Amino acid sequence: MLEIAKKDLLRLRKDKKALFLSFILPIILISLFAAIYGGVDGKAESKPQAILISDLDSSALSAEIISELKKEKALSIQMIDMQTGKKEVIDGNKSALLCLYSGFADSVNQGKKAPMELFYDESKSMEIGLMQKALLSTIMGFIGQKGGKAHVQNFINQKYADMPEDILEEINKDIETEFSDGGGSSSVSSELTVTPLAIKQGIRWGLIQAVAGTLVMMLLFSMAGMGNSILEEKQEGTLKRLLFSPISASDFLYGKMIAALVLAFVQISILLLFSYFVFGLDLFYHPFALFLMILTTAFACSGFGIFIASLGSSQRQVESISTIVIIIMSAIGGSMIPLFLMPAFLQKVAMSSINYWAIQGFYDAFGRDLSFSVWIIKPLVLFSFGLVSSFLASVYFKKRILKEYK
Amino acid sequence: MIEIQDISKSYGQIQAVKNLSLNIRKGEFYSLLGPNGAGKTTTINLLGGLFYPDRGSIRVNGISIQENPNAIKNWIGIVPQEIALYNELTALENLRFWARVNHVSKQGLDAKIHKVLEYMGLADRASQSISKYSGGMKRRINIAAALLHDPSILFFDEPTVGVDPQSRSFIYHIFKDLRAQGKTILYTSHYLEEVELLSDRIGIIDHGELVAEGTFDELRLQSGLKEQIHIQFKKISEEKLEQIAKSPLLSAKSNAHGFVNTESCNYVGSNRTEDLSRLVQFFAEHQIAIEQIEIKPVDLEQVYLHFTKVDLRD
Repeated sequence: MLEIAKKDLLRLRKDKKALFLSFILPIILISLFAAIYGGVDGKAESKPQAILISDLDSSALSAEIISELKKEKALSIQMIDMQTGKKEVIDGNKSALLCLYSGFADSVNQGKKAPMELFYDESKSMEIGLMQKALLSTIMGFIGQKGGKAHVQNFINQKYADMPEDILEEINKDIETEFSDGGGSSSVSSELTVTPLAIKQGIRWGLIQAVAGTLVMMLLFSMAGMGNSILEEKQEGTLKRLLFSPISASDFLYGKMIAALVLAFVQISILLLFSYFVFGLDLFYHPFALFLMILTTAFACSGFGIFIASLGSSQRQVESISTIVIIIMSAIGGSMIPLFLMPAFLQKVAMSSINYWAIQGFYDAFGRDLSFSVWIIKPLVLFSFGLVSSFLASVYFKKRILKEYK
Repeated sequence: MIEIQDISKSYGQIQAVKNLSLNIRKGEFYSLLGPNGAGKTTTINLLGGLFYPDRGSIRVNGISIQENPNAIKNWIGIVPQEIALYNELTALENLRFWARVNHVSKQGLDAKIHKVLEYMGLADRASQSISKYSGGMKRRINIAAALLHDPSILFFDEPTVGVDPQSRSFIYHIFKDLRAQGKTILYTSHYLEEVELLSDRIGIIDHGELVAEGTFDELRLQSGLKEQIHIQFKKISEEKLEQIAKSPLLSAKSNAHGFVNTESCNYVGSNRTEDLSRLVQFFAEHQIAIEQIEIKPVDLEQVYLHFTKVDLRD
């Protein structure tokens, strides 16, 4: 059994293409995803979202709101006339156009619904979602303040129209003071303070997502390749020769599993060390949990690789099956797209993938501070994945692959 | 040494081996011949314990393969039809691996490998990866991998397929030497000349059944074929060839194992005098000028075709 494992690792060491796919390609992809998720320099700063604004009201208030928006770091404002702005969005040159229609200031001052509209490129919905956060916090805060004051004044003036003018004037002055910028001891701020909640500050979740997501996906590909070597041995005749020697079919399969497990363990370790030295990923936040995660992820992925190989009857068939399964698992499991961007039902489906449990487990090991009974669930699920797939692989190997010698 | 008693093996509707009984003696070079799909490889796979027969028994040195396959596998070395080696690894690494899976101790292993490589004439190429070897060299290493654990029984399943004449001649001498060393050899090949020269006994299998068995002389006797008469004549036209080929004397039925073309005719028969006079008379009647007549004993190919018929197989 060990001889089979040693031989497979020796073959891998001599196969430059396989080495590239197992180690260099994942390093390239991790670097790429880390850059995408903003984890390279640890600041996670993103480029401001460009937005066009067409001011059809041309009032002091609309100028004031535009000036507020220009202060927002997450936005890059460009003034434009409405028709040209719409064309820019339609042509895909810009993502969105905010139009402040004529009567904007009057409506705000009267506490009515402000006439404004956001036009956007439907193909960039995700980008608009992020932009809306910055837009809303500025515009709604501003309108809330101005509109609130006007609304209260209107209400008092209408409801108490019979009240003597000097009293009404006194009340209006008080309202003015209460709603003025920074004035009044009880002024209400519309801003929502946003604070990330974690035990340890400065954890680079983007980097963790990039490393864990890519690592699991690439590991699955490597393990599928390793599993495919079973069919290669069958095709080349070496499996038949091995079965004539005094080793059993189970010895052969377990030897393959050991080789896959060792390769997976080495692959994860190298990729994590790369992330530690190059990106400064903290490997010592929860070392025991991390060690357990490396071990169980390696076991789950190697079991998966051997299982997939036992399903096919030719190398090409296994390559196709494994590519499809890995891409689907990676897509729904969070390797390609972070889970929070997915619909709720897909987030539930994600739990059927190795990627999901591995990524969540690495999140725990790198940045969360959960109790043992909570974080151990992920390694346990991964271990179960490995156990079940290894068992199924052994059943199918005997049923399908050996049968073909008859 | 190897006793196969009335074994049968089916895969669904296909009966690959039917009531097959063989007895291969110790130190014997036994060749198993048969058309493709006749059941040769199934028989070898059954002997190697890859799977068990549905019926019957296989015993090697008195031990049942069903009861103790691993004990028997220790005595067996197989040279499959495929080059069952790892291309990325060197000859040395390949041989080390195959020796270790066959339980050869690490102690003195490299010396053993070196000896086998010398025996195969490849000692100076030990550190070269198999992918850089020629077809003939790969075949030699393929054989070497089966010898390291010094098995007393060797299965050669078409070991010289696609090999150039020089390498084949080299391998042929290795077979002779292994035979001289007293190894029990089960051999399958489509190179019948080799089989004829090497085999102590030959078994002919067709449709999963043993149709003939014995030494070459015994098989020749069983077939009733004695000699082949080769007649060289002055070149004839295609029309004339068509005409004479259809004659009862030379037609496929009466001369199933011979041939006729525009320049010569090979006739396989059982009565030299009678056959020769009929042929001379036939060519005279058709005004074909005979240039040379050669009479040779029948070879294994003709005997083999007699037992397995000439119809094309899968």
